[in-house]
Amino acid sequence: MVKMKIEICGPGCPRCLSTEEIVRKVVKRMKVDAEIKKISDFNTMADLGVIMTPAIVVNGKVKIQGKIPTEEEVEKILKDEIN
Amino acid sequence: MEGTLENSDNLVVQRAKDIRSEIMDLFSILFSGVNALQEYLLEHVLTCLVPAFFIAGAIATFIAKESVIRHLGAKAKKSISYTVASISGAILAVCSCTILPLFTGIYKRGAGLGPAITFLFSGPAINLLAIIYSAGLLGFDIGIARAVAAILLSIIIGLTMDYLFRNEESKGDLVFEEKTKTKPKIQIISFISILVLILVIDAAQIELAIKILLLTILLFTLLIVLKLWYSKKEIEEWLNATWNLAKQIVPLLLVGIFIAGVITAIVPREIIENSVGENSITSNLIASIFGAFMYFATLTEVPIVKSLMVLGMDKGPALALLLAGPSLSLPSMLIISKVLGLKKAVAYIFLVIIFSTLTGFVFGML
Repeated sequence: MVKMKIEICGPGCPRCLSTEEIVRKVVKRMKVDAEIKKISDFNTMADLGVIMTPAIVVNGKVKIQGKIPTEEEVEKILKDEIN
Repeated sequence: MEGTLENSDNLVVQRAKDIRSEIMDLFSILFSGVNALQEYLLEHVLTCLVPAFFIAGAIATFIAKESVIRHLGAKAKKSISYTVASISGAILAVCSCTILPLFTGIYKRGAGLGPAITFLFSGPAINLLAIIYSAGLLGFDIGIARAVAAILLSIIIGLTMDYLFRNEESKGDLVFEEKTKTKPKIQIISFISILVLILVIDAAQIELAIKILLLTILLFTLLIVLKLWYSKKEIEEWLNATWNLAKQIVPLLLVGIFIAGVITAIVPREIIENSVGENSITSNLIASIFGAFMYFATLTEVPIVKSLMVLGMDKGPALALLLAGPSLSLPSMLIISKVLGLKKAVAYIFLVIIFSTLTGFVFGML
């Protein structure tokens, strides 16, 4: 299986930090082989299509933005991506 | 021999006295900080900020952002995108760290430079918490003037930037893929209106018994509305959003209030009176430039302006500082110039300083 690429966008405020925490937790629990990267540069975010932070980008596609996701939401996103 | 001994004794005593009075000074400075905190907590946190956080949490959770962002896309009509950009901060920018990514997105993939600038300038000033808090702490007139001036100036500055750099085209389009299911409008509107009413009644100066009665009725209505229309999960989401927002803003705000208290104690009155005590172009310019470079964490500009006003700052320069302050700071200047390029960033900074100065001056004359 190809390694999943997860990018977490946010300037580094508490909301973004808790998003990262949740993603890492779920990834670890589901044992997904993923590379998690933090993006705090606004130009890169805009190129990815992110306008509201925090945002989660999986394999180049914006999956969720503008709010802190719940663990279930992250789980669903990862499951959809695997299948 | 004896004389010198006595002399050195005197010196020691004098030193000890000096040190003591220095410590006392330090204490009294710290004390004014603590005092300001205490007074503030009692008077304003309970009456205006707590309900305001709940409202902001509700806006963040239940209002569909894509319906607003759609009007900031590349295909939107110019007149609409400027208007939406100037007021949408109230809904989109509940916290200051959401402003810069949205600004970059609107500039690079959406309606372009003008509306992006409009959003960048008005966002921090017209967010709900800032308006409620300014009106509560600084007075109703300044609160309203701040919101109205921010909206008007943001459009003027956006249009000016668009005119100055009119040969630019923005590429791509803003798409907000995520489709969130929204609740019927009536349910959202009635929920948020009750919250706003609670805030208004809570802050109103009416007899305590009447206040408690009205608040009880409102809280009861709120419970009914929640029970009828909102699921447990939605309520949880709303409370979480409120809590996250408070967790993020309140600690820095407390630091700001403390600093404001210390400013009142250590800054000599003459300095403030001489520099910004009267409403002149120079005093407004000083206030604007100070505001533009200084960094204020979300909402902290309000208690700091309050303490400067206590020290004799006129209301014109106060408004100038409130306009230029939150929309610019040294760190945000760096980010903006990275996104826009140096030339446009410098033009923007100049426009903000000039227009904030003029607006403060006009408001000071009223």
